[in-house]
Amino acid sequence: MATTHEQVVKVWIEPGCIVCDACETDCPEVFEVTEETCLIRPEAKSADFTKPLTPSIQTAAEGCPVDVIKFDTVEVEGEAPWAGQEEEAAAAGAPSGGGGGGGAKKGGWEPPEGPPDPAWAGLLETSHTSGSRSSGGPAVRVRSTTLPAKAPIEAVTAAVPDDAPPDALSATMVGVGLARPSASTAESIKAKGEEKARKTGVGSRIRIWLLLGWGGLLFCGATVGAALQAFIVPKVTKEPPSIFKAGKLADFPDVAVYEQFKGSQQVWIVRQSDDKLVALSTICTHLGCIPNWWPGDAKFKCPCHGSGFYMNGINFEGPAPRPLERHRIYLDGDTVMVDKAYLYREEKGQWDDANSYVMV
Amino acid sequence: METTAPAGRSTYRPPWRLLIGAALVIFMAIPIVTMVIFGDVPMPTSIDKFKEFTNRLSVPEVSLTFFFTPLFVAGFVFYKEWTKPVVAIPLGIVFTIFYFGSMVIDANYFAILEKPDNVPISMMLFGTGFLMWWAMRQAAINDENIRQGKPLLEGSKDDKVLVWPDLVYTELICIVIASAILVIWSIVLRAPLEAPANPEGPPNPSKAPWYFLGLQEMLVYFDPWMAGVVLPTMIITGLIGMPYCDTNPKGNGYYTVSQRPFIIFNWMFGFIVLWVVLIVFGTFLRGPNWNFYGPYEPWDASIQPAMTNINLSDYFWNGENLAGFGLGVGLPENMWLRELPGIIFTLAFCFGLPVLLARTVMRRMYLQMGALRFYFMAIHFVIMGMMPLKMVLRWVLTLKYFIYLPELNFNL
Repeated sequence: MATTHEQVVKVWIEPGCIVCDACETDCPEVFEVTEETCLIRPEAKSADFTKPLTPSIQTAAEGCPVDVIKFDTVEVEGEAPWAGQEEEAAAAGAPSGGGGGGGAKKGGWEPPEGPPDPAWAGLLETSHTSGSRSSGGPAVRVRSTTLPAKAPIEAVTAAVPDDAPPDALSATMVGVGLARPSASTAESIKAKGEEKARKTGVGSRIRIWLLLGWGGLLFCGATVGAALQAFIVPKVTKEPPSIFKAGKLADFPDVAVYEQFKGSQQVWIVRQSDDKLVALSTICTHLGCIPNWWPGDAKFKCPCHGSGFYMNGINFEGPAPRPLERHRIYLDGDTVMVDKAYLYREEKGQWDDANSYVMV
Repeated sequence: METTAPAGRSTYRPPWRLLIGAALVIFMAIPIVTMVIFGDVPMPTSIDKFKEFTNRLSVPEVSLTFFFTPLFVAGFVFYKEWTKPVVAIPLGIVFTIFYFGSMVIDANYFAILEKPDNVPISMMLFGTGFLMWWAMRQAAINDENIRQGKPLLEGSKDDKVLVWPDLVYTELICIVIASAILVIWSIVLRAPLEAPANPEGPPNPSKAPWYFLGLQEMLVYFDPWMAGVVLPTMIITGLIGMPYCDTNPKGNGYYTVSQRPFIIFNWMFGFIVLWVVLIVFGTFLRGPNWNFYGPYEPWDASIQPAMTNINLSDYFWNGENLAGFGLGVGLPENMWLRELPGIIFTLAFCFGLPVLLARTVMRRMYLQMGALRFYFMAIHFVIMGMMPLKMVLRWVLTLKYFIYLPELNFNL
């Protein structure tokens, strides 16, 4: 039986490309992936150009996730010049999780194990792009067609340019059949672990211990967290008395903001136009700065982030999320007393509370 | 990205860059033209009129929308052109003259710039500008080399160096230089200490340290727990997650823009526009009562522009007083019903928009990254986009909060 092999004479791309870059990774000589679609490079329109690239075109077509790469082939007499590599690609296509076992080679020649450096092996693993994973071949097939199969290592080394990526040399060796890719460190560890677990039946016991360990850790963490929350609020506070005398009713004759307690007590006494006397906290409800009262504009304005409040404390501009808070205010005889221990919040409807204002 | 189309295929590609450039120029001219024609903005024929002109144009809704953002986009699209020394050096000289020359023509600007607090701002501006030019220049050269199939700038170098002595010596030299600069700085410029804190009269404006001015600017637009806790946390998780989300193997160990435009655009937008530009805003444009002032405007604390802020729920339910927006039925009693429009909008924006992006314009990215990586990235991306959106809405529509639930201390 006469030996024949296929050679690609025409490549084209059908609609439906998802521009995943896999084909350009597999065969950059022919495919060029643009923003919108994948193109065949102009020089690759000729059969003479594509014939020597047959294996990588086939790899690209197999690796295309949407199968839009099509090609025509002709049968050619004789052994394919890339015969060794095709087998290698097939070998690499086998799942490498099982320790990187390649198939038996024709002629009984077993390529040596890949570069022993785990960093190189790791690079080889990570060099795959998502698209070319399906083909299983090495992502970088540098000049695989120009080198004779099973070329001496020196020839490969000389053929790889100095400025090529670090994994190019090993990838080329894999490409020409001088080496087969070794399993990545992570995969071999995982495989060994699985094998051991299968032999000893330890896996399920480890899982129980892990569950217990994590459960215990979570339980301890939750307990400590629950205990810590008791420290968030101080149990003892040393504060000056919360009640102070604000003066006589006659001290607030006009509708105005009285600022005499701003510094000492952080309270504005405001006589509103509806003749309610209220004690407004000077703490901005946004981030706790102290706003300024601007009589001309009749508003409180915070210098930190620009929150603005009307004279009655309602927030109307800037980021403050709620109105200023009122303190308790009451009359002791005709003396106005303010108790800062009480807070009345408008958004909770507490300003209707009779303790939050004094009618004049 | 230029490509050679194969024979038989139409080789015509629209001149995108020219069109984008023209659109940006027209866009940037909009405020100037409209304000000169329809407004009372003076033509800058004298220094005083130039100052007023600049003040009017530097209000944030104009300057960020029509000036900084187009400039940022232009810097990104035309990075191969402006990074050429023949363009970049004159640009730098013009900016330096404008930046320091303004001290001569205006006392207020001089007062801002000569504050010891603000010396780092000048260093940051020139440092960031120089480093950005340097990186973009190398990226431009590399991208051109990649296009022509030439080796990279970094390609022929051996990138492995020894820890001792190469790295340790470099670090030692850096320590010595940095210490020397700090010592000289602290001797020459007195620390800007002020009087003890006084609850009766906090400083007006009260400014954060310069490096937090961007955060302080964010706090103007968001609830404190949002701008102070959630968004900074998302900045940090985004920065941590970025390398794990990035599946593009290109650009490792060399500068490039064309091979990874999205992530570089993202990073630059987050850093340059949302951090550096906001620091500049906080330094030069924020005055007393945290109002906006032009760079040449005296800081008169009694100037108080009114800016009543309105919640989205007000816009939606109460619209009849608000220029005809909304239903005009009044706010519902139930707080959940009241805030339903804002809640729907927020959920759709933060979680619906990423799904939409994955199905449409970012489909390719979604396929490459996988669902988990993509949605992690996309949620951070849209929330980063919410920042400028909220700012612009505050400036233009005086929008206060999308969701306003003071009952639960939840505002967004």
